[in-house]
Amino acid sequence: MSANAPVAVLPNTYAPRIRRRILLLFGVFLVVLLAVMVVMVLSLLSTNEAEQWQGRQSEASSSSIFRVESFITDARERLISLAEFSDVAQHPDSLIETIRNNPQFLELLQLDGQGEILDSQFQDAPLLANQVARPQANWFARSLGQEEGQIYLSPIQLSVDNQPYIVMSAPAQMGGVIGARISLTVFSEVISQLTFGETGQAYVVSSDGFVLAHTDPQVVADNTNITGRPEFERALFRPIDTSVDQSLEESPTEAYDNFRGVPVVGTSERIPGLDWVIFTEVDQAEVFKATTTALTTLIIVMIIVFLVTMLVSSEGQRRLLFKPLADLRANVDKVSQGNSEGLYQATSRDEIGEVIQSFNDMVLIVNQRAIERDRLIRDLQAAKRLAEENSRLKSEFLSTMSHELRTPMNAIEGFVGIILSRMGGTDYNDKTSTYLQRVRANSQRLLALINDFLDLSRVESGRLDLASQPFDPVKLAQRWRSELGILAENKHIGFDLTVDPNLPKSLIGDEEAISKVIINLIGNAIKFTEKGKVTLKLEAAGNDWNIVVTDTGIGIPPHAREFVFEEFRQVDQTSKRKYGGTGLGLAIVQKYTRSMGGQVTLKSELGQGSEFTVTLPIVTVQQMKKAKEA
Amino acid sequence: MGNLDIPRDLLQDWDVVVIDDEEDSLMVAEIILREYGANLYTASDGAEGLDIVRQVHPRFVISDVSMPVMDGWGFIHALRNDPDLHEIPAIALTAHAMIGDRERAVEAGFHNYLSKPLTPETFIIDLLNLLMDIPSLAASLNI
Repeated sequence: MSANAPVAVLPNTYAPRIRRRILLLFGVFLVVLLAVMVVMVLSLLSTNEAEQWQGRQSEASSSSIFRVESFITDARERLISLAEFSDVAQHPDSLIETIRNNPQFLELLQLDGQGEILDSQFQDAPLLANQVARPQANWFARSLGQEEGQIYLSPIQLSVDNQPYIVMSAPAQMGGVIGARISLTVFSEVISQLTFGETGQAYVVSSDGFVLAHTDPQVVADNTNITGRPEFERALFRPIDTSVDQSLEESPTEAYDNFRGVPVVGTSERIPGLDWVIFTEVDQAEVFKATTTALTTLIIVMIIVFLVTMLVSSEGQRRLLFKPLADLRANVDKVSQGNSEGLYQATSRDEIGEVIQSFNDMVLIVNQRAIERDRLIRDLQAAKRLAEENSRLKSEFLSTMSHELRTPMNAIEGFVGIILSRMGGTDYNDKTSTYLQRVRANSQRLLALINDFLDLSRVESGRLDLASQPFDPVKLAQRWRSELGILAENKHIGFDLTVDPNLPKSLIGDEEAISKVIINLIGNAIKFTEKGKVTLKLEAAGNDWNIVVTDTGIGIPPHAREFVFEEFRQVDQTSKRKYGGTGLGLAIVQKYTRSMGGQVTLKSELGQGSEFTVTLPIVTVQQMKKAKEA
Repeated sequence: MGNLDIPRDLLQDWDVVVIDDEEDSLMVAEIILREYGANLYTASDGAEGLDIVRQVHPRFVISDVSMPVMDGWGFIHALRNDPDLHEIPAIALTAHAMIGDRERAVEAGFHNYLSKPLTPETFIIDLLNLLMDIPSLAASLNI
């Protein structure tokens, strides 16, 4: 590999690019996997937590119901007990004792059948005792004359200071009615003790929407009514659970914004026999607090897992894949720059390691081949130089030989000529004269052969210095028409010259070389034509001009058209004997034409004649000037 | 002898120098030129030819181009650079018409060139044609 060869070095970026893509793909996969894991864990956690909270709420709810029932039952039992001992004469202190021991009783009344007060005790104010239409009051009318143990329970009412109370009444054993005003404030205190979690709260709502009791007493004090709220409506229209053990039956948990606008998770249950609904609620924030904490923790853990995994896999890829690839790349670059020393060796026996090993092996083989090839090239160059030298020597030899041969031939020609011219006046039939004519003809033929040889050897040796002189092609043609005309006249055949008027009057070229072409073509045409004529035609053909020589001679058979341009080849040996010639004429024509950048074409019909066309590029004086300027 | 159209006294009493290293070639030229009345001086190389030219101041010189000691190119260079001789016409003689010979000969200072072989039929006609082109000689030719 040549060190001078231009080497295109790629920017060293391909490894990071593919690495980034692999990491990105891996990262996306990892993120999806981790996200699915987070969702699954959170869903398990939140389901579990919601179930836990539902249990706690149901427990609280049941416990509340139990307390409310206990409260009411306690009040009812005390009233029934008072009704049993309703003989004022025998138990004059029963009312006052009950009031003193049970703060929930705000007022107690014992009335006779006509509604007249037999006894009246109170803690705050004698509201019932001061009722004007006492005998018409519901609590009196509903309980009077009823069976023993039948209790009347009034709707919730509010005192002037907005304290909720209910009126409970029972028929007295001695006739008449025992009535009680019971404070629900105490009931609220019961509810207020009901707490669970940090935000857990419970409240009791009457069927007409008033909050009777709330973990926050202020709600009751504000006379809050939640009629119309969806959770309340749903609770009202839910059928009362009539199963025996309600504590085992969990009411549905719902997530909603409660009447205070706080997002909560809550359950509601109706208190049997009272048309009251008890709500237990916990803020959603608390319910999902663990889940949220878990989520945060999970995300942090997952991010750490993600980063660590990416880092490890990135480093792994670098070591397993990209470091060996970079090594291979460095090897390739080194070899590209013509340096095959100190290549990185494979550090692992994996696929990439094999590729590196194969590459390094290949470099060794290629280097060996390059050495072999360089040796071959040197050998070939030496052989070429030798061949060129031989060719030059051959041309030189031919040239010298021709010169050495021609010198005596010239002398023979000269002296024979002198003798013949001196014999000119004597008898022309003298045999000596005839023999001398034969000597002269043979010496001329030998001279022609030598001259043709020299022409050929000069073209082949490349020592032909073609001139670039302006000449008139018409004048040239006319000159050879007149010089060679004698040959045609001797054979009694015609010799026509036609010139295309479009041919430029002045062309640039080597007149002598063109002459050699014309002389040989015309000589050839005359030689092989017995009757008819030969024609020399010059014509313009676009950027070229043609020298066309036509004859009406014997023609050239198709098989011979290939080789007539070769040296010493004529159609056959008999024609050579019959027509004479050196057999070099067409070879000279072709070699001279080619050396002038032209070409020779041949058309022939056996027995009809032949047509040789030499096509040469037109170079005019103007074109030469332009070329020089350029 | 040869061409009857050319008068035998064409070159009567003209001093002519022919230079050629080939003795036979020189002899042929000598025979033919003497037939037409020339006083012929011969030399076998350029240096010798130059000496003779200096002595006789010939009407014209015919010189072969390839010769030992001083060839035709050296001869013509010396001739043209000699103030006494530079106007003497000179014709080159080449062994074989080669492409570019004419240009080369004229460029070097010859008036024209003739190619071998020299024969009685062609040599004197060709020579006459060349001499007719040289104004200083054409006027004094005996035609």
